[in-house]
Amino acid sequence: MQEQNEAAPQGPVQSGPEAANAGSDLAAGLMFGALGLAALFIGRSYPAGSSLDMGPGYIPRAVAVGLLGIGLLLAIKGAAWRPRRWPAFPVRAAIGVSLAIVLFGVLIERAGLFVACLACVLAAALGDPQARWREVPLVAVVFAGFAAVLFGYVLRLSVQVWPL
Amino acid sequence: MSDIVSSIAGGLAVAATPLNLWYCFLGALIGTLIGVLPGLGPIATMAMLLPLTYYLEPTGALIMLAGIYYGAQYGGSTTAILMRLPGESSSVVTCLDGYEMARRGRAGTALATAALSSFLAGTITTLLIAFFSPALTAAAQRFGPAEYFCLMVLGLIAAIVFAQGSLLKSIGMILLGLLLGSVGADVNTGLDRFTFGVNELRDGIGIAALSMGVFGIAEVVLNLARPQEEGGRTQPVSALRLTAEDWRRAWPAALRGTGIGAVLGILPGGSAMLASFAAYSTEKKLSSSPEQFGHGAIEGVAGPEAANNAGAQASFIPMLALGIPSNSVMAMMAGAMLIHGIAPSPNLSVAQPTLFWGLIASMWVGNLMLLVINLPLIGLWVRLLQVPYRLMFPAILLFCCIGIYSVNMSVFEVVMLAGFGLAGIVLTLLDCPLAPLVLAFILGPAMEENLRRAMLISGGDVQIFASPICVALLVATAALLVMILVPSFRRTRSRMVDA
Repeated sequence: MQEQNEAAPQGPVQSGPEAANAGSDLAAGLMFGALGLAALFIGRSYPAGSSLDMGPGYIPRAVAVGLLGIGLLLAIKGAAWRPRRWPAFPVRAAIGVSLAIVLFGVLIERAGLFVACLACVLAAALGDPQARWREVPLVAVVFAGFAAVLFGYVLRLSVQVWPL
Repeated sequence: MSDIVSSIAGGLAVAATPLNLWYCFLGALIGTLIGVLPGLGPIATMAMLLPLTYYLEPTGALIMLAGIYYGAQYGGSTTAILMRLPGESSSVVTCLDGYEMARRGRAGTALATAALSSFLAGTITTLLIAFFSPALTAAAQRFGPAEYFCLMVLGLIAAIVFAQGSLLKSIGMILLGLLLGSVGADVNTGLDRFTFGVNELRDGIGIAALSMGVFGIAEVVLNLARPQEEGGRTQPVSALRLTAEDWRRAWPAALRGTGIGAVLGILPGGSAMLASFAAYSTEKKLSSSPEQFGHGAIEGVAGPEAANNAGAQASFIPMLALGIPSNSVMAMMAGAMLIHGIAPSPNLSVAQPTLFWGLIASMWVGNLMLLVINLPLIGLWVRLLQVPYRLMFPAILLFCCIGIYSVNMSVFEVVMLAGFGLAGIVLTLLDCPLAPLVLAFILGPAMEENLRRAMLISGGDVQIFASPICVALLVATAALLVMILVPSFRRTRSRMVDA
């Protein structure tokens, strides 16, 4: 705990760096704690063995307990500080890019490399606030064509390039 | 002594084969390219290109990755000088005096100083690695499982003590990394751990999907959401020439920078950024005219540029000699070795002498290439900066998708990439440092293996951790943790975070 959050200065601190720290401490603490608990629950049947002959469950369980402990410490540290500010999650960019990757994965074996790349670029543009929609289809076709030629024909990746 | 000389000669012979020269050139070129482009740091670049190395033989793969690393390191300083846009964190300091020099019409001098200082630092540090690593390796040869376990604990803790970020969060990230590392079939019993019945997970989580997701994809998304950074106006490049006065002032600064960088680079976690900051403040303190700093002092370019290159290269020492990656860049290198079935360990120089010495020699060759690639091609690099991000990011994304799919022709890995991308965004937003996660993920399986073996050997007796080497390592670990609590160190550390 190297930040000196314990000595909370009084007064109307609105949203200084401390508020952001407190928010991220609390959120990270809850996340670590939840992951530790989940690991303990999922791994509850893994035999732990003894410290002489450690089973497959020994280390994961010890690590999960540690994670839970760190999570609690962080959460307490973050909860003790007010006001708190939560970090802003880049919803649009995250959805666009994740969708693009998943679409690529879904299409690559069903429709081939060209279509998968096309869909990937189009979906990714959804996540870009500066996207120019007249330009996007052109970019998608050019990039997908380039990828199809480079990976399909030049580097001869063993992948289906066209839908049929 | 003559051993080392002949080893270096052998290494040079490996590095100078046409194929390896080509990989070295390709790596340095791609690295510079990406280092110049804003918004993609060296780590994200290495993560993105990791799948490519599946297709190369291990020595070529590592030579290319190393080239990407110091290329990116160097590319960052070009944009720092010409546009006041640091391509990555270790060239932040170069902006201060480098851009000022460029504004005064001395861009060429600044660029040449940066290139020559980096080359000098690279040459000296390469020699240092060659002489230093075998000694460390020899010491580590006597390590048993207990000692090796302690060494890894020390490496992990040291990496977070000297790096930025909240200590609690760093420890949390280490534990999370260990947990992710334990996914898959247990080595001893074959029991599936945390696989959720997914067959692809039985071999463990792929290092490529993990690192590309948390470093590459997360960076792409965060860049998209961030308003575009505006740098200074691009300054015209003047003649790449140093006057006698410039030489006189630059070379001692470059030598000092090399020393500082080499020392700080060996320490885990610190690496290039820390080194460049330390070198800058040293030069300012030593200078007879500190008021010139910030107004185009050539020492302010030579020192930090030498330091960040020396630091970048010295961080190879713990990885090559002890098998302990000390920052996320070295984690990428270790990942590439694991992909080829070479476990990072103190035995590397004995078991894989060609790889070991070839890689070391290639560093020097790579530094020479940087000098040759960069100075004549500066005009091209500057033009590259004008590519808008809206065109660049789909290309990066496509490259990641195709790359990760091509690793195992597995759709599951592509979906995991998206998952780790989201995880990386959340963790970055929560200020959780990613380096400890990846380091622990890489070291985790070996740590568990060694701990279990040590306990078996000793019959469950903790006394096995009372050997002198273990005690020394554990005391050093404890001392590092105590250091965090010392006020002056804490202040310096948090100043680094703000900078």
